[in-house]
Amino acid sequence: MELTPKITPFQFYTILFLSRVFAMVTYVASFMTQRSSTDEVIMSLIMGGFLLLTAIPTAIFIKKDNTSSIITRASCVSTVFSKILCVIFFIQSLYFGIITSVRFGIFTGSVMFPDINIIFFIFVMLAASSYIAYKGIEAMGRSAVIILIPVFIALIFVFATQSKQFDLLNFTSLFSVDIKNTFLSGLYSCTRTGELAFVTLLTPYVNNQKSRHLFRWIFAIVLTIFVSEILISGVLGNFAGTQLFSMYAMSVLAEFGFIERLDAIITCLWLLCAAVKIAITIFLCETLLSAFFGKRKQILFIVISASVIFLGTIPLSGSLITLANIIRSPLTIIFYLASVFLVPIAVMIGEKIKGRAKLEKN
Amino acid sequence: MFEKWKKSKRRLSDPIVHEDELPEIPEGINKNLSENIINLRELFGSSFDLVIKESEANGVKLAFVALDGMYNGIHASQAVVEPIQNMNFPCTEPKLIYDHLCKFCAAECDSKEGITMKQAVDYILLGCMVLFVDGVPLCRAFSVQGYPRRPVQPPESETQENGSREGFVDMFKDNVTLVRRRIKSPYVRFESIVAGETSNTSLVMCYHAKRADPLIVNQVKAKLQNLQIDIVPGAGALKPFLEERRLSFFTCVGTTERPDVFAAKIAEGRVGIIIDGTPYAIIVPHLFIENFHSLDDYLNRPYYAAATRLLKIICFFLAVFLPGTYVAVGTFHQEIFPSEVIADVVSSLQNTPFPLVVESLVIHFIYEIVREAGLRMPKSVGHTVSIVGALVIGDAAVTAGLISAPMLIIVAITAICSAVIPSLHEPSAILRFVFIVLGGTMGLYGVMLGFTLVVADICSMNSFGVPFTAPISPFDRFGARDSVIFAGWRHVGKRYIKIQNLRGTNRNGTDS
Repeated sequence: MELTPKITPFQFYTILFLSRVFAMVTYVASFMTQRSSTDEVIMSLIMGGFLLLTAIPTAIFIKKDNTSSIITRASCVSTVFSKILCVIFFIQSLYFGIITSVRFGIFTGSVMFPDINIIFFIFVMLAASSYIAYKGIEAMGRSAVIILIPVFIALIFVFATQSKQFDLLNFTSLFSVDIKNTFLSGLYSCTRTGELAFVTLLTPYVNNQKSRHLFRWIFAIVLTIFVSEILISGVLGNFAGTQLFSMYAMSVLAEFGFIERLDAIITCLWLLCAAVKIAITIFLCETLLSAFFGKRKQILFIVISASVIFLGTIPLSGSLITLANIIRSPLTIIFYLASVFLVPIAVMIGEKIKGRAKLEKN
Repeated sequence: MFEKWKKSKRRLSDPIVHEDELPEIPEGINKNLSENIINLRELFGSSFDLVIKESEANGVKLAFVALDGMYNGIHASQAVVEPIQNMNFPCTEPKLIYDHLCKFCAAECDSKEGITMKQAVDYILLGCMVLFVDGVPLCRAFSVQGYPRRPVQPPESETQENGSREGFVDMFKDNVTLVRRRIKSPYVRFESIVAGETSNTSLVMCYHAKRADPLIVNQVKAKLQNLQIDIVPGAGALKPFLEERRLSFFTCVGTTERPDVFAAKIAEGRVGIIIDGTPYAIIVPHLFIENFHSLDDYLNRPYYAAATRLLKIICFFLAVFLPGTYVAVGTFHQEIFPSEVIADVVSSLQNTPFPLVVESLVIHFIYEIVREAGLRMPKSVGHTVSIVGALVIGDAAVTAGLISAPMLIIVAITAICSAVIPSLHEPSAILRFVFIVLGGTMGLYGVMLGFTLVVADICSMNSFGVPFTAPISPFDRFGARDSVIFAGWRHVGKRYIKIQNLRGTNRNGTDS
């Protein structure tokens, strides 16, 4: 009998946290609104609100049964339904992986090595992430906890060094741009937390997962984004809106004693998050392919998933406008809501109907 | 083409003398003493050290067989040969004489009966004196071993400031005694296993029956019993058979030369393996963090122990990542250098003819050569090699402008740091080169990516179901008191740690 490797909820949510941190540090504010520093802070709170709302079905879902994945539970309702879900989640995971790789490429190409061949870097990153995914969820979970330490130190370091440059005058008046825009930005920001869909998919790999773990993770994300937005706004003000990556712009200013430029080290530490994020995406793709085909061919499925992500990344890499168009697309919101809100509800309703039908039959 | 290659490979393992020409060990012991002696002489062939002493007791022929140098002559004479020769036998029947001498003779040493010739030969090879009696198809082996052995000395590879001065020796029975003296418990089991098709090396599996997980014990026992190995030259030869995965820079099998460390690990529920002929004993499961532990940590004040452990961890990181990071920063991210030193560093880099990555690879390669030469050469010459190496690398290369001075400092720091954790020397020596190449081609990004892969590699390892990275990840609160820090005996000593109770351990006993 093959045993399913299990990780602790802390390890699992650390993977998801690091994954979200990468989206945070590569956040391009200018994609969304005409930037107003205070609105960005408010936007992070609105995002938190949306995230909490959309997480409710997931929380109920894992509260009812934290041992089976959404695919397994859907297969109890209908095999066709579970296959359709496999396809939907597989496409979503691929999209997630492609967007992350593109973000990584743009971040690397514009910030770290402007003269380098981005495709090569993306290829190396995908190869490394595939290796991590191949090692399995246990290795990923344990690695994530270790990687969290330097990433957390890097974040705290940036926050701590920049707090002395914090100036309240940098804050603009509330909703100075547009209230609607701020709410929309909050919603779009919420869609960047697509990791929420992973919770229902990877539940069988997590030992004794509870709803409170999910809400702690949401709290940690919202707090981190909120603090970073406050600091970005307080330190950079509206200047942050002119920067491609505002978090990076703040890290450039970080200095430690006689060492004046530490941004390369800090950004490299953030890139560890990218490896974890792409690895968990590839692992998820492999799991979904295994579920769809009903047999496990780990290496083959990982190679297929990584190759598709790589091929999907090539036409988008380096094109900021294309990335902005994709991220700003309403389809992103629809896709997000479908995967984290509608599908868990649909599965739970399906289970209820099936259960009632069984009772009536008996 | 491949068939030809396979044939040539097979030819390499072919014996010079054809196996069919050599005599086989007879099944049973012959009643006729002369036949047995002829069989033994044929079996051992031209070996000069086979000693066969023929004697007589009450008219019945006897023969004492042993290997010269393997037994203690005086002890054998006083405890076995003389008492038998001086004994008055109340009977003349060979079987009764044999029973009589088994019953009353050789009280001063252990004796065991052998019923097959294979057993008799094994006893002879173990250094016993084996007695054959004419007319009896049995033999009696007397434990009168006495070969040259190294006395108990301080361990050479695990020198400690405090703690015992006794180290393991080559003789496994002495090592068993050294452990027994440290854990006086009847629950400590020492089970003997023979390994090595040709060498027939004695292994002793040691565990605490009350604390060790029976599943781990059985797994280790099964692995040792099914070893497919011809000879066991040392502890390193057994490691691959006890490891879960083959391809990794790191090993989840620990070794120690110290009986006190061995005893402490046994008390934690681990399984130890003492190998005859080597002073290094194996311990499984072994955790990554234990590479940074030493006995002194437990004997010093906790704050100092924590400081030294942190120091060792930092040293490991410096030994592996410093050269690669320096190459990455010097090649791609010079802005990281403080403005006060950037001019000096950049000018020294510009004065050397090679790119930084080549310079770094060459200097580390030379360092490894000097280190290897210093290790293998006789001690007197070894010092000369070190001095010449230091002069060539340290002075001449910089003066000639072949290598920059900062690079020399990096090599020196790396070399010293790698000496701090001898158990991790192998991975750190190789990974260093990997990170230099990564840093030279992809900058800090490459170094970080390499770091992620190394972390994933370490994290994916399990040692008999116990995570290699425990108790850090998965985090175990009680186990963490003796991990990066040592909380002190007042906290740790309250209750003992069982290795199989660490968080994340697969209780089904299978490596997941």
